[in-house]
Amino acid sequence: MLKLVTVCGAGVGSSVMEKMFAEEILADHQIDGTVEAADISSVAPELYDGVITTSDFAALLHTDTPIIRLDNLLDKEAMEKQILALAKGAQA
Amino acid sequence: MKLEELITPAMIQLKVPLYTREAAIQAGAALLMADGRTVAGYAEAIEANLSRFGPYFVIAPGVAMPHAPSSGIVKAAGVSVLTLKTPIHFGHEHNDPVSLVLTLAAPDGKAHMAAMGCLAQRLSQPGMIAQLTAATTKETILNLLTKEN
Repeated sequence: MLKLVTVCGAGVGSSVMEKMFAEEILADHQIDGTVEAADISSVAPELYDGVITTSDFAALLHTDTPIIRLDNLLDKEAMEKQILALAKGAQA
Repeated sequence: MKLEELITPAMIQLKVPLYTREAAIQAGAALLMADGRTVAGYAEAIEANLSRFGPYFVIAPGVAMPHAPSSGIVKAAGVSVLTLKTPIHFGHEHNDPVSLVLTLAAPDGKAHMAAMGCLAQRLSQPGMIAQLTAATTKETILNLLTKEN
């Protein structure tokens, strides 16, 4: 099962939108997984298989967990490609 | 909570002449406060969030979604909509300049999440941002964001 977390500054705005998109992408591709939304201050990246966030926050996260970086949070296709690549890697 | 409860006509202003990101944040937050979605202090909370993390809330080319943690200031979920007469630079590396400011109030808890998801869905439709930015009536904005296509 793929465990993802979306991260923003407050944990109530952009990360919630990203969570919705990520959940849809998992469902569209029948990938077994979960998505949580978190704020940068409290997130523990090591608990997840992947982190979805903006480049700004990616620079603040010091982790070995793969990070999906998005500059345009409304670009669902860019997220989809990266989630699929991550899911493929997780299976291998 | 439904999407049409997030945005009311009173929370929309079109082609507003504002020239700094601070003024845009103030104006967006004032619309939320006037509708009772927040008490005073939300603009300041957003500015604190901005100075701490930078303008990450410029979520897509031309679109800012300023917001801050609820911290007792947010009373109900809501989104105010400002289109700008002239685009403003928020200082974002990729997504400047901003023509559409969607100021978001989100309380703690999960009641607003379904509506937020619907909003994200609408915003990600091809051409949506351009149509919102070009809108000349509040009805157009409401129809684009809340009505079934």
